[in-house]
Amino acid sequence: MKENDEIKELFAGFNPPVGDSLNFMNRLSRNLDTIDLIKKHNIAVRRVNRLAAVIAVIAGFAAGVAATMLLPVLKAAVGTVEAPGISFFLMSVPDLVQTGLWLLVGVVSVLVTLSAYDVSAGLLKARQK
Amino acid sequence: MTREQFTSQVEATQGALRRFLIALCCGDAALADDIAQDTYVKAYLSLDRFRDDAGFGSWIYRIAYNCFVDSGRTRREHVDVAMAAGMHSDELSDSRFRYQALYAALARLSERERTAILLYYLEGYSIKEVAEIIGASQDAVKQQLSRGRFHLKGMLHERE
Repeated sequence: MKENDEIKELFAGFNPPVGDSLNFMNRLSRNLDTIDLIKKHNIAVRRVNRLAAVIAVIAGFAAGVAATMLLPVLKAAVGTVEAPGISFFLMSVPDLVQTGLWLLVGVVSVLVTLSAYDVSAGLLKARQK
Repeated sequence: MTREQFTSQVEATQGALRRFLIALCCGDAALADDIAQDTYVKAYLSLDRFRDDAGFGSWIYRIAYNCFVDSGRTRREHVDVAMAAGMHSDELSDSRFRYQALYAALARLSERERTAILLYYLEGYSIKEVAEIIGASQDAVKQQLSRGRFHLKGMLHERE
C-alpha cells in the first residue's frame, strides 16, 4: 500500500509541457484532409467501375441475345458450305455445328462484355475529369 | 462518427495522450508527437470499426500503445542527456531537467512494465482497462505493475 502511494506521488506532479496544441491540431488536420481526398477518390473510382460493369453486362447480354437470334441464319450459312471435305466432316458430326455456333455466341458475348467495360470505364473516367 | 465529432474528441484527448506518450518515450517529445499523430490518423482510418463513444479514450490508448511498439526500431531506449543541450526552449529544458530522473528510471523498465505503470498511475485506468489496452491478461498486468513498481522504487531510491 505504501509502495503504491509512493508511486502515485511520483506521478501526481507529472505535467511536462506538450508543445503547441494548435500546431499539433493543424498538422493532424492536414493529414486528415489527405485521407479524405484519397477516400473520395476511391469512392469515385468504385462508382465508375460499378457503372461500367453494369453497362458491360447489359451490352454482353444484348450481344448474346442478338447472336442467338442469328443462329438459324448462321446454321443455314454453314449448310451451304460447298467444300466437299468440310461439308462431309460437318455433316458426319451433327452436334458439332450446333456446339460450334453456341460457342461462337458465348465468345461474342464475352468479347462484347469486355470491350463494353473498357470503353464505358474509359468514357466515365474522362467525364469525371 | 463524423470528422467534426472525431476532431472534438481529439481536442479533448490530445493533451493527456501526448503527456502519456512523452513519459512512455522517456522525455522524447518529438517522438511522442509523431506517435500521437500516427495514433489519430490510424484511429480516423478505423472510425467505421469504432462503436462505443464512451470508450474513445481507451480505444485511442490501445492504438497509441500499438504505434509505440511499432516505432520501437527508431526509439531511443535511454534518456540522452546530450539532447538537452540542443533545446532552445527554457521551459522544455527545465521540464527535461525536472523529470530527468523519472525518465531515466522509466527507460530502464521494459515496454510493457512502463506502459502498465503509466496507464495505471498516470492515466488512472483500472487493471481490467490496462489489460484491454495492452492486450494482456489481468494477472499479467498485475505482475507487470508489481515488477514495475519494484524496479521504479529501487532506481529512484538509488539516486537519492
